[in-house]
Amino acid sequence: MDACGCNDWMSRRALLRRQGERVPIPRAVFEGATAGHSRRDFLQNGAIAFLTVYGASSLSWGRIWETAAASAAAGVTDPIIVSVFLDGGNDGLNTLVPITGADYAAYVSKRPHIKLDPAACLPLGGAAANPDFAWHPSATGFQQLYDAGKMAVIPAVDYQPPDLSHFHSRAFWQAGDLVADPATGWLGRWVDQNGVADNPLQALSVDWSLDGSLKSDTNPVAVVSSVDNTQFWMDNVWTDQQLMVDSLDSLAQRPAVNAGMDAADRAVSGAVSVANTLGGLPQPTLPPAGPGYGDTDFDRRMATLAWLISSNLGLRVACISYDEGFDFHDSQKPRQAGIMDRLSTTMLAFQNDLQARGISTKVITLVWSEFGRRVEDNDSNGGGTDHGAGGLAMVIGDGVQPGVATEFPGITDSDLDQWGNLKVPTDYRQIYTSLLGDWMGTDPADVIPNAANFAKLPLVA
Amino acid sequence: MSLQYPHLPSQTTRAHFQRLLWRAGYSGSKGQIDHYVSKALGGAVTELLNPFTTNVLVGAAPTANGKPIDPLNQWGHDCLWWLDRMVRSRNQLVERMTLNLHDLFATSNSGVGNTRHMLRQNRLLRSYCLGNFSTLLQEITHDPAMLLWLNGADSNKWEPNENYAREVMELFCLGNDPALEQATFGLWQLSKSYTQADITNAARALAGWRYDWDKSQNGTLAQRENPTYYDPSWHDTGSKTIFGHTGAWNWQDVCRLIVAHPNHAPYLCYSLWNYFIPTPPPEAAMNMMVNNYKVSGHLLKPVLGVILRHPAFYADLDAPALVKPPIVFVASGLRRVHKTITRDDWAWLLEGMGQVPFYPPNVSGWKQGPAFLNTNTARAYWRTTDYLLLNTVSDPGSQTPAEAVSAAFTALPGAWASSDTRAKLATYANTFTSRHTPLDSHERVERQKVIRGLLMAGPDGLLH
Repeated sequence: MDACGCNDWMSRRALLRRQGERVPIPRAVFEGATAGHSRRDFLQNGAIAFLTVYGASSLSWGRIWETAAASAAAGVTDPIIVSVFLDGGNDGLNTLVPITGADYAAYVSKRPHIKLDPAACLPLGGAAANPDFAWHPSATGFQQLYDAGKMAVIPAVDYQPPDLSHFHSRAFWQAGDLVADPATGWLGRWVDQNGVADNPLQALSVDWSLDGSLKSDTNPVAVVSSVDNTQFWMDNVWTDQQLMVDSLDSLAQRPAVNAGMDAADRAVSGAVSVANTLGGLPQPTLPPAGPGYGDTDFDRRMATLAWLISSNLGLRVACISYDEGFDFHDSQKPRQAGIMDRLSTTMLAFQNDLQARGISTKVITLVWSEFGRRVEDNDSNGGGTDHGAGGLAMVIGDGVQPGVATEFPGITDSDLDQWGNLKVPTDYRQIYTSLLGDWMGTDPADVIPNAANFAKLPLVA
Repeated sequence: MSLQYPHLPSQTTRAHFQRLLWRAGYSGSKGQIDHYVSKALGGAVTELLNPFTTNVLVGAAPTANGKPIDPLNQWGHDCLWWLDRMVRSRNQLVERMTLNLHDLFATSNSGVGNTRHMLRQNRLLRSYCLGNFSTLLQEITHDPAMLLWLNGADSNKWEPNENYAREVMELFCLGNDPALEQATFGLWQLSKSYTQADITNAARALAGWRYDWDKSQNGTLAQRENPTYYDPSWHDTGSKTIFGHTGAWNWQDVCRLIVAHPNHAPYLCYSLWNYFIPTPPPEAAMNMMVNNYKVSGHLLKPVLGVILRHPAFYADLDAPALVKPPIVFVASGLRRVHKTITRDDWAWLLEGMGQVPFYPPNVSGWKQGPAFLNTNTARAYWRTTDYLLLNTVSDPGSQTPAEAVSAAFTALPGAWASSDTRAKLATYANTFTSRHTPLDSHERVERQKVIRGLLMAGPDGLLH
């Protein structure tokens, strides 16, 4: 019973909101060999995956790769933000458990079904040791990152008043503003302000569709999607297959008179363009992942992202969604244990991968979810939690100022709001202003409406 | 107050009837279009709104790999079971509305994990899809698939689960998008929107339904079909305030209060309109739909009557703007090539196209319209067309290029093509013919097949 089923990420292709152009990613890119290569070299080596480019219909893929190759010569010099979205509302209180004093007593009494044993939880050690909290027993990767001084946690972050709707909350976080149907995302606006006009690889969704955070207005952004069969064929058509494909393309070459026709024309012509570009090239395959990753699709995508960053393509911001959902209205204990293990293992592997590639000082990863969960559990099928306020965000990287970065409002009766939810001492936009200002070195006011209202947090060392 | 309907278009052509069967069903054959033309447009709408009760399914029962399909046990056969109804049913609007309601009340077997329950819910949606929405809401609130999907099962007075309470308001019945206020000309009002308190109290009132896991596996057929039961001892009999109304409400009261909520009728009517017409409803149409819904005691039929009679439904006959959802493309494609279900490929083909029945991506359903189309799915629509056209074209004998194009249109009922597309199809036929003259038998088949493929899976074929 995946309660809202919000996280069937294999179906995310159905969520595509905007039409993009699809271009091949040459194998050389994944091998870190972009510098000095011509477009022809790229193609001769074969393509490895596909990129869907948004907001740059005038750019040919050859131009894109030439721009990327040019930026490769400079190396990874500029700071990078990676956003990891935990869809469905991760339960912060069972990720980072309050294990002392009145909060622990309240935790035990309010969570009879899903409470975790502090003796089994993992302490917060290292230079920023904190005795008041401990990690979920399965979150070994988070423990190692924290103890190594590479992680800051924000234990009760949300917006006021909390809405508790998956769809609204996710939209608000992606927009960096409290608007339900935003035209742009916070990272997309950053790209508009600070990015370039001819390199969509500066901003990547490593997913089936474009993350709302990356929606831009003027500068191009892109999605890396999977490898599959691209050719157009038809049973019993072999006399003049190319005439068939050319004719199909010709049907889409016209001025569209409405939005449906525009979408159909662009989809068909884009698909034919990919088929023609890739015809005759070697079948694409992905290189093997680095050490420490698991075998989920999220692992594959995070490893891909590490390669892409280290390939010096001018990437500055990237978004990625976790494979599975966190909307545990029921059966939370076993489901969360598995997911904490897999998620934290991958995050540790990703950080180690970046370090092995010599770029870990250039990347900060923000892990977030659209809201936290109700303090009191329910007893649905062994115990679960309803939508709540004040979620947990985590910031990971060599450049992070480690520790519990913000106030924990407490979970005794008098601490909670009228719905039994965590109060919200920290606004999510404070994370954004901190990362944009202190990490990217750009003015948050360019990107976040009313940025002055969202004081920066001590997240960046 | 009485039911109100817009004036039908005064001048009608065959294209009006084709549009009607495309959007209120899964396309019409030449014979079906002839039949509806004979009834005039008003008569055709009336017939669609008043389904047949006997001999509903016409044609051969579905098979896969030479055997009858087994929806409960074979992968993908649930999909085939429903596709078969879309293909063979004489009640085309019923099948199209059942799909629309599956999107509105989006329930996924990925969370339910019980195909028997999914098929039961499908029958429930079908039986009410032109009927009383208020009753449907009562029924679906304790439908076993829904109780599992949104945690109504085993929610209780001690710890009420809010999942269904929230989504029934946000997504199924009331809406929360502030843009609705302008889109409904103020009939939907943000100031009247539900609150977290309403959700919390509705969750308390809804509690009491339980699911017997043992009977779901080991019970009688009826028990396996529906192992839910109401346990009054699990229900919170205390007072609750929902939308400003205070009482010892139970699950039926919640449904009643939701249907009576001032934002419900405009939200539902606006949502239904958007399944059929790609331009937003004008104010008069919004008023008529809401009026008919309320006057009729929450019947869907008089709302659909407004939509199917409205001039906007028949607008842009020469440039349709509504994207065919993948399921509609497959079901109509089968009808157009005169095939019934004899293979199971449609299930995985639909996965590539991005719409698998019984598996919506989440509780908000599928993103409709242009969101269905991208370079991945355009390729998948083509691949599906290849399967649709398999073994459908035999040597037509000697034809001029123009005759070949004309034959393709005749073979594919309801084929729409812009004048630009017609010209380019002629160019294809001319080019192919001049390159390969004299055409042998295979080449005549290839030419005919390609024209049909371009008609079905070219950009015009993705719209209706």
